[in-house]
Amino acid sequence: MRIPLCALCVLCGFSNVLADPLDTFGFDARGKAMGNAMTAGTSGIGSAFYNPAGAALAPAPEIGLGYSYAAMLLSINDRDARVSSSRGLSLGAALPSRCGSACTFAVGLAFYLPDQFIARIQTIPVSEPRFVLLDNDVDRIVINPTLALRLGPIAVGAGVTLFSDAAGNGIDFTVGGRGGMQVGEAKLDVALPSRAAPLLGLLWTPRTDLRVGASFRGQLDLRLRLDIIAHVDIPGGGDTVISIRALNFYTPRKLSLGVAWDPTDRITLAADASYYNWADFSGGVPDLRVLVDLQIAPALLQGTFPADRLHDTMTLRAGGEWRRALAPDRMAALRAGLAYEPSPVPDQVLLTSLADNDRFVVSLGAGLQLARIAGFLDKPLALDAALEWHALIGRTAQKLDPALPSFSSAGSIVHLALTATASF
Amino acid sequence: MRRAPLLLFMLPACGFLGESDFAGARQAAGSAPWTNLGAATLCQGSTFFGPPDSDPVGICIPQSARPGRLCLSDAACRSRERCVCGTCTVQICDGPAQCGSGNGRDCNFRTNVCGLPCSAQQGCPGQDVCDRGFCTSACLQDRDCQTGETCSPTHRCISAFCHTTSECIGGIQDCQIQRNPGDLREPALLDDPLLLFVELRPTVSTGQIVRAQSGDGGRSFSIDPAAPVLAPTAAERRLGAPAVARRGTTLLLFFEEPDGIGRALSSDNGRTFQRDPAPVVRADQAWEAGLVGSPGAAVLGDQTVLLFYEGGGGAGIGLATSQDGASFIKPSARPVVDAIAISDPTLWRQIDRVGQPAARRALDPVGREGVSLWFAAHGVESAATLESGMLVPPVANNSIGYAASLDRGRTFAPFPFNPVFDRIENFRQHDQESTPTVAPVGDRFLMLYGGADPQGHATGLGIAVNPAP
Amino acid sequence: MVRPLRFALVFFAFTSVARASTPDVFGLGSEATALAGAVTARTTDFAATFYNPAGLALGGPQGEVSFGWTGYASRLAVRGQRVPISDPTGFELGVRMPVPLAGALAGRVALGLALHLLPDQVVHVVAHAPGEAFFPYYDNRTQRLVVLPALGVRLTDRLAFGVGFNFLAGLSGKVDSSPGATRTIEPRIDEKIEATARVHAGLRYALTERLMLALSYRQSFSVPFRTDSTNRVAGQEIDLNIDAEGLFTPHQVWLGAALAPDPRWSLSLDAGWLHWSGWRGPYVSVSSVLPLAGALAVEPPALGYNDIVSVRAGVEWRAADRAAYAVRLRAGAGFEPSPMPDQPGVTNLIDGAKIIGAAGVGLVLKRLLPEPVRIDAHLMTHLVTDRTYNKVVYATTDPGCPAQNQVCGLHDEVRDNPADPTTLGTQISNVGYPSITGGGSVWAAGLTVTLAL
Repeated sequence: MRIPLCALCVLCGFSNVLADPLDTFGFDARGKAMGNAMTAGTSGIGSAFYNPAGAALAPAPEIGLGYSYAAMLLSINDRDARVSSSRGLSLGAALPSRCGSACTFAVGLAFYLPDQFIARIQTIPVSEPRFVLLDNDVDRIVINPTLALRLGPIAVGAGVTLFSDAAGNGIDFTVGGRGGMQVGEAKLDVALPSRAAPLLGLLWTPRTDLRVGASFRGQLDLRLRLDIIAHVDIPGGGDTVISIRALNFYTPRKLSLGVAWDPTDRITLAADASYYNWADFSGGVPDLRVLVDLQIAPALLQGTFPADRLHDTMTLRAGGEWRRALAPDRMAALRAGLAYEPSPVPDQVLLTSLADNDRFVVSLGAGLQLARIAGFLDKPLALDAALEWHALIGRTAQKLDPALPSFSSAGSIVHLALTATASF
Repeated sequence: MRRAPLLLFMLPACGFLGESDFAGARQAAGSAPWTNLGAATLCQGSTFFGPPDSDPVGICIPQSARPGRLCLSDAACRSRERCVCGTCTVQICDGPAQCGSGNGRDCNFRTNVCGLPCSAQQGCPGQDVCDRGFCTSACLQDRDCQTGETCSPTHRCISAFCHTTSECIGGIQDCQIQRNPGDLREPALLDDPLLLFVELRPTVSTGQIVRAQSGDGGRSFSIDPAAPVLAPTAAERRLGAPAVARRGTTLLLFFEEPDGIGRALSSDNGRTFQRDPAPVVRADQAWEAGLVGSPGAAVLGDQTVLLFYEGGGGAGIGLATSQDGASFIKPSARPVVDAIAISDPTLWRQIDRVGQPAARRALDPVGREGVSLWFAAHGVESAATLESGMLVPPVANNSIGYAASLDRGRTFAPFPFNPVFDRIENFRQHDQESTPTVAPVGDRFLMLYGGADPQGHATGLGIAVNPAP
Repeated sequence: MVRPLRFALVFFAFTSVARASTPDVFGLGSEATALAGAVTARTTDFAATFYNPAGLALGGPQGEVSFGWTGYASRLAVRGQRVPISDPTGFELGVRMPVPLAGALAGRVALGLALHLLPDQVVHVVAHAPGEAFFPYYDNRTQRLVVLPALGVRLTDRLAFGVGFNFLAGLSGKVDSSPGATRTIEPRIDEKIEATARVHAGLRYALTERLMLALSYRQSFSVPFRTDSTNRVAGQEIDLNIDAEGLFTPHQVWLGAALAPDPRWSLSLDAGWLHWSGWRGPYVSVSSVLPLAGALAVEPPALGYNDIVSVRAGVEWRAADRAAYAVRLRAGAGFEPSPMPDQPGVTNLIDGAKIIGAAGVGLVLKRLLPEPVRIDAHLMTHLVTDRTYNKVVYATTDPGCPAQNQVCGLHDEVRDNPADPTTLGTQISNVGYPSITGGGSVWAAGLTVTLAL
């Protein structure tokens, strides 16, 4: 008699969640140096990330290439949490094309590629303390293609931020007897189905020295769905199913409002407020199910642990830039920024141990714009550098049950970025 | 200036750099889960102890063979050798747990030595070849083989398991004993440096306490000094169940003696002890039913000594405290942990014995002082299995639980998913674990426990770690 | 004698084919596809990233961006049963951008990027059970996003060089699960989507003003999938380690020539060598430890695939060239033999020789926008000749084809037991037994719009 699929185990770890790496560190060096307060201030290669409408304001086609590195100096219980450093290549483009005297159509692209991999799907047992926002998820590919249209003082932009799931029809493995021999056969069907979330942007330029911007990004995540089925087709055998479901890289809806003002020809000031809809995050606890349908069906524990509800957050950013012409064909800029990023993670008083902290971000940067490089380049080239320092405000998670281990989290992040932008 | 953009092109790895699996630190709390690493090796000279009801066993060695090279770990040895009591040699076994965990080795039941499994797809290291599922190497003579091996007529290095020299080739080989039976009970670990105190029972009703130290982070221990650090007097038959704690520069050793729990002091890191003339704790409470034993000790920050003990032959765990480490009082007439307190209707039920405590002082991240307590209890922790359509009920067994206190050991909160350590074999058989002792080693916690099979036959000391390697 | 088997280790599953195109199978860009891909010596737009990156440097001073759409239909069949197309559309995005360098490098360097996008997925890796019958040429090679960044440099007035990368991702990682702190099975999952890239490189040489020669190399490409799953469930090991490689494209070397006998006509001819013998096959390797079965490793059948030579030819006629518009008509043809060997054993990789036909039209609208707009359309077919595999049955003990060998022939799968009449005779579950035939055609159509920047 074939027994029913009777033994089931559910659970469990906790997937990492986080906005994409650009949410944490920004995109190009100019934006990072200005505290990423760029919703209204962007007009070039960073547009596809900060505000898709900005690509239509680029005076000429621009392509920017950058590299960034973040030292994750984070600790749990005063011990190094060994969070991998976030580093990678960024490529931005704003390709405007005129469609009339006051009309510009543009294509934008923001692309970030980590050094180590395109993305990593990682789950951690539910009770192990781990930096849920800063571990792993600042290392994933970001692809934002956008389109923009400027008509007079109004520019609008739209695009998508692309990602993928890891899924498929699974892996099917059969072990059986044939002609007196034990043989096995396997087949596999795994795909990375694409996922997309909308990007929308609006820029209004009421005066030449003032811009007001708004941008919206939909929610996105990566879902891992992998089923491994093993058929043991020999006497006493049966089926074993390993089914994995996990969710990584949750990127919440984001609504940003910003203003940029040029009080003089040399100075730009910018401020942003971004609202992150973390509360809609659900399914943070992945599950792994093992179904054993053999002559012996083990008694396995079954449990479900609801994830802590994250709460929405409001991030405030401000930045400034001071420019000075060094020569007729070269200009220098100094930049600074400040941001406060509250944590969406609630106090960890029950079983889950999600480490995350409120952060102050201080940034500094400098830029050099060359109209041309004689004998090498006929078009403008900008070189920018930025340094971000993220100071995590120490936090202690004290469990209600003394038998569950409490933990503390603290640390800082030092992020360095370089960008070269060429106009065509 | 011109080269700056080119340098930017050279920096990125564009997703090709790769990163090790499971990067990131795992946090050790000492509570759960515990991962079993198999049998603990306790060496006495060049041999180690096996289960108490086992026979002395060894390996046939050519009389002309050179001794194996000295070692501290397996890494110093050749492909098929292990570091056995400080010497590289192939290791005998009669179960996979004896070959260690995470080193890719398994017990080759054809030869009863630990080997590296292989197949057509899974090759062998170096010049080794796969022979009937395990790695070996080709040879022309014995000296081509590794320590503990001989060259077979088919020119393969083989090992011959033996009990006595008569089982080896007469006049050419000797049986070199690797493992002797040993009845080891109630281990007690002390960290910084890592020391083990354990009761060794030469005969059924006698017991003495030996000290051992580890050079490999707790994977194996060697008895040092060779003589027991505490032995019964002529009028006694047994001293046992040691518990050890450091108070200032003094080691406090608590142990079972005929009239209760005794105490001995050491000022030379446990090499010698000065024993008190009388027990420090006696069975004087009703619930203790005249029996106290299996002590577990912790020293708080203010040097108060907490002495936990099993009372009433498994009725619960009691507490005695001492401000000066010498005179103990019992703050409560009731046990601090008993079967009712740790029972759970689903996870751990039908508990009828609780005892064998091990305690450590703990500090949480905000600096609160607490006490961690590991203990053994006898009960049922799983549901019935379905075998050929029939429900087969589980059998009660010994497992290890955990509880924590934030009030200097007066009350304890049990871990919500007890037991924290319970070994299962083949879907349904629960091996038994008792007499835990825990110490921090590096960034992990190490647990030594007394193991037994589902029928209760002792299998020797085992090792578990938290978190998993 | 064939009888139904109590256990069917091999089952018949016609997988759908050609879910979306890639440049390898049908081409990239409407202009190149309408010429049957015979463009190694003539392409200068974004399609050069695939066919010959050297062409990027020869496309003039103006940058351009292209948007394309392609659709497919299958009339392939196995034993008369139609094999449909699941995802019959794809999109293309291409950019060619001259780099505004000055001095000696002025006008010599251009960047290009081509993307072939699937509507609903980035990549789809399929590895089949050995007995399944399917069209490997179309089934597994076509279902992926294509990302081709490239750089072209004009070294001299006659010679140009280009290099590009065929970039994508593979999936690999580990799953470890065991009872955790909560005593339930707690998984630790670390699956990485890692980058994988292969080189495209090419040379273009203008022998005369009217004759261009070209050499192009495309490195073999495949998408790896590896997962090691180690599970400890109630004291029992359940481990499965999987290793597969999908979407294979072999090493290729292409020689091309393009001739413009007069300003209205251009002819092109390509010949390519494709190193299919380096393919490990469309199957998956598994090593496992399972309850009752114990440790078992499965190695897929190792077929000897054949290297092949593919030939393509194309012609373009500039039918009209007015002030407001221009019209170009194109046609192409090609032939490619099958790399699949005869298969008397368990495998059923259906593939025949391919006769390729293509046609297309190009329209240049010179005044619609401030810069000219180019619109190209194409239609292509692959006629796949019928291929039949006749299975050969050997005794299990035949030294010429032992039972362990899955390639040389088939064997009786159930030992004869005189007490059980159902076991007597030859019992084979392979779907291709005693023979299997497949063939048909695949159709593709598409449109590309190119804007100047």
